Amino acid sequence: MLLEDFLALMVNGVTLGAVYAMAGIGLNIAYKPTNVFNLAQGEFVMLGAMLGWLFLTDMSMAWIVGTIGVVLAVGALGVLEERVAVAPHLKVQSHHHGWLISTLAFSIIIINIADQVFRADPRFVPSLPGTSLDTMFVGPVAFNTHQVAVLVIVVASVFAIEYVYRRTRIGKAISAVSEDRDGARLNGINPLHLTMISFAAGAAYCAFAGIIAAPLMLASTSLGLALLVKGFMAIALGGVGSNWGTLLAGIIIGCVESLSSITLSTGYRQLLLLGILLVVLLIRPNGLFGKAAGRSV
Amino acid sequence: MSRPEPILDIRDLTAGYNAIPVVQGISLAVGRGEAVALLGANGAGKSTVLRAVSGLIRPKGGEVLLNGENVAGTGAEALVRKGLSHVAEGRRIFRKLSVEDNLDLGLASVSLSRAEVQRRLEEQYSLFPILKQKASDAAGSLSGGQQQMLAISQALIRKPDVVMLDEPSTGLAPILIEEVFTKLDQIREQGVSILLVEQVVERSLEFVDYAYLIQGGRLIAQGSPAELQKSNAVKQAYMGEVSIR
Repeated sequence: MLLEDFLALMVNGVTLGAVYAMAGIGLNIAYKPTNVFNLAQGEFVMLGAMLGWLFLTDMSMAWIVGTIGVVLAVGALGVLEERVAVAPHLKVQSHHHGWLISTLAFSIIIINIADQVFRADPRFVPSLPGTSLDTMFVGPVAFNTHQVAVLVIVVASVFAIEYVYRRTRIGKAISAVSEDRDGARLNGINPLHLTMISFAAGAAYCAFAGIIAAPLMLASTSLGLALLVKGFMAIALGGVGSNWGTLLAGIIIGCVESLSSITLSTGYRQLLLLGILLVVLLIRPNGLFGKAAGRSV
Repeated sequence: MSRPEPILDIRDLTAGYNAIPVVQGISLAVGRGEAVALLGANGAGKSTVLRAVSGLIRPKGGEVLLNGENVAGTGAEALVRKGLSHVAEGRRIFRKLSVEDNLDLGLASVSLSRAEVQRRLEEQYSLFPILKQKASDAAGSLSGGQQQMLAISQALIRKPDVVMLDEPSTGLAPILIEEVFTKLDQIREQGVSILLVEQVVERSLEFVDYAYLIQGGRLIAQGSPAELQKSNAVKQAYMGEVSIR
């Protein structure tokens, strides 16, 4: 393999991995105050991409206006899901795993409606303003400016999310709810508000991921399930709850997938990725950056 | 001796989990500035009373008057804003957050200026100097006694009218139990009304102005510490029916 080819595959892999990481980070955001893995999270990425096509390409809205519209619409859908598919289970301790089926059901409803509305054809979504999908070279490295923008946005978003969790009272309150829901209530923190906010934020974040991923992957209604699986792999490999770990793991997954694409078919690539995931989890059961849950004594 | 006007007045409270009532017909009062104990053996229903009063569980019957307002059935997060703090059993601090973040979350229900937040923190640090030394440490890394101090401090920082403490001595060495009671004395001197649930009977009776005894989910006796110590009620509450010849 030529150096130029290797570098081109790496650039693709890193960008693709950043998108996988965003799907994983969306899962982390919704998980933190609820301990619920939202199985509809991948469909929020898909909806971001498809509504991005509708608003930006089909309706020719200004990028910023269309993007705000998509993020708000999908964020509202996240709140609706939390109200109907998650909150009732969190209220009743003995039903607290019911979310497995209710969030899956919500995701199936979304994908079926999206299939009816958008049909199965892949759609084009424009690149970020000021960027282009045209290939340029710096030495032997081939890339486009949209890819650079995606990477910058993902890294900046992780900085911003970590800042909120570590430095703001609402972020600390979310951490408190994730650790001890009743303890948080006794400090005047309403867990219901925070779970709603987190589901809205997780959905909006994934919708934004869909908009910026679509120019690279094309928008289609089959995008959601694929990204949900990759997002799960990223959080399992990086450590549940660790956003930096999820970012690094997403990039590793993207690079392995990209580099192996020249020798392996799609099925074998999945096998290779799952093999790597299993080996890492055997050595580090909590992922690369995950912390073992402490036991109270 | 007459008791002060009640700030927390619990009348005929029935509470439990699912369909099973754990406590029935409990009536007790905490006067303004008073320290009151609710004593009883393991499983008597003491913690259930506190959980129902603080809104963690919904009472099945009765009234909870806080400053004269019936707040029975109000959620825990709303009751905090009305001046009721509950330090739950088992040192319910947020172990992954720092000591200072735990104290800051104690103020989550109130909107204060940055300067006032700092003043409240310094106030708590002067009451519990060890917390200042450990301000940036993870709360989970503190010793059991220090965690208990943090849990109490987290409840006090929002300046409640009434603090309910659920077995603050659990799991602590005798010397640390004494330290906890010394701090409770200082808190009472500040005018905070206290409802204390405890199993350390003698030390609790030394501390409080008035006490209630609970057995099998029902009140069996009440009175001043001197009256209760004279009677057979304490022994009955902890060991069942006892006949002394």
